[in-house]
Amino acid sequence: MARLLAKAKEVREALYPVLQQSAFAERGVLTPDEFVKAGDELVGKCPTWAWESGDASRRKNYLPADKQYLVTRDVPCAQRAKAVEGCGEDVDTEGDFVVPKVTTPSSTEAEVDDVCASLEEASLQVNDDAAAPATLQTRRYDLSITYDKYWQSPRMWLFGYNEQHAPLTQKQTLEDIVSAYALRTVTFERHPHLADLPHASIHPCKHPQAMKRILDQAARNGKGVDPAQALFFFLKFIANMIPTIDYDFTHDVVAG
Amino acid sequence: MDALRFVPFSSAPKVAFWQAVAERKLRDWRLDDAPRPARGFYWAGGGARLVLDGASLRDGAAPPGATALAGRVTVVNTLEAFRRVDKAALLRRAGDALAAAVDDGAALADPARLAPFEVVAFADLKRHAYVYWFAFPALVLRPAAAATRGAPAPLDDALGAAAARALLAAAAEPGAPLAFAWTGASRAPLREAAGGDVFCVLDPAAAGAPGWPARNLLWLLARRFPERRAFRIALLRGRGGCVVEARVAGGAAADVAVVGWEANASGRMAPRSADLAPLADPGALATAAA
Repeated sequence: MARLLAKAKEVREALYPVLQQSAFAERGVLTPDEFVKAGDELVGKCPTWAWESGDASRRKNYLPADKQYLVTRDVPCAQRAKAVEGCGEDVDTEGDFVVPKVTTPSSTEAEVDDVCASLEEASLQVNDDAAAPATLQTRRYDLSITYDKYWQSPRMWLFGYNEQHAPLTQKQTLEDIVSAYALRTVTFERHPHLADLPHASIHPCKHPQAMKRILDQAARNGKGVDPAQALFFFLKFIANMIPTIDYDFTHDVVAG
Repeated sequence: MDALRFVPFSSAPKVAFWQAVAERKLRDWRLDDAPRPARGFYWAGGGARLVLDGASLRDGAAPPGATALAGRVTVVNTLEAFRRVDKAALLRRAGDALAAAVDDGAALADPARLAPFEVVAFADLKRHAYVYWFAFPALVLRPAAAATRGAPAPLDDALGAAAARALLAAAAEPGAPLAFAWTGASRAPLREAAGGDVFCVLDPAAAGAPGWPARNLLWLLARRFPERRAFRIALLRGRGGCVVEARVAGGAAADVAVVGWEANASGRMAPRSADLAPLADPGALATAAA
């Protein structure tokens, strides 16, 4: 059933016409050309982002072969989203007192590491006084931005690794998305260019409205917004949903 | 004086790397468990992580901004074979090859040779489970080098703002060598450098102590300039950097000791594992695709 639905969505996407005329100012949507220009602007200002050409068999013909989607790799994510969300659901009440709920660190390690423990070779331990203590590791995300032809919008995809570099489960990934969005706008799907790997995606159905609100705000302040700046605004409102994933969008964008 | 400490690499193999390993193992390598060339990538200032991904078993361009390292991956066929791999001997051979590359000039011509890596892995292709162990061979200076000044000096203070800008720009060029020299007026390839130059390295560590590549660079310098007792090394870390002064008490011996097996996340000398079964399960997508 899931496969059928996925297939149906592919067909829908394939049949849906490509947006030709700019409608950025009116509806907050992007044409593929505008997406490419905005991507060029992002890559120019934030060199940690780069264009990818992806697998030739999955190439979209409405985008240049060498500019199919944008990636930034290995982005640190030091804490969970609820740490910056305030208390929210994360409190226990004890009598008249409200105390923060103590969360135990998630551990996926135990189950897989029996095998590894059995392969320990203590004789390889050396006293090396020129080695610094190992760096404290954090979760890391590979992020990518594709162009969604149906929603005429950029679309964010996430794939994360834990502190031991094992892939995050879906449940763990949701911990890095602000809870108000986590269940409503995040789906786990095949990435359009990396189909062998299910990614978390922030569904783009609300993106044009969000973009439009920013544009209207800018207009009220007497400013116009060039669609080439679109991805900076996009990354800024995505950052509200994944506040602890520390990707670069440092170029200043001001829209009132 | 405190020993100068270096931040070891942390291995960061991506799912795409294991997928590439599985494909090559099934299609090309089969039961042959000979070492295969592989590439690892790090980003200067990126936090001392060596990333292996889908591009690691292919030729082609490195990801933007990344420094590519050449290493080897040995994929054995059973857990028992994994256990039987003589890890000490494997590291010893890698260290000997590294020392030879320093002595015959190969590492001067191609400084990326200073940061090799080895991976031993068992791929359970039926269960999509991988057991792996990385080694980052480093040649040991005895006694260990010491840091002659307390804190590393920011690049601007140590070399001047203009030189700092030029060096960071050079380090950011695609295909920039892992190490080169600054003569005080211009850049020079490592093989043309003199002992008094500032030696520059694209440093994977984000802050503080130098990363692992600087360690073998220092061994090379001690070996190549045996009369010198101190070297200045500039750690180029993307948007910034610093200069450390390393004092060496004696030359680098030919009968060198090698270290470098990566401890696991609990700090023990044991392999790590990656379980990709949840990703390979078609049911995992069922709830999501609706």
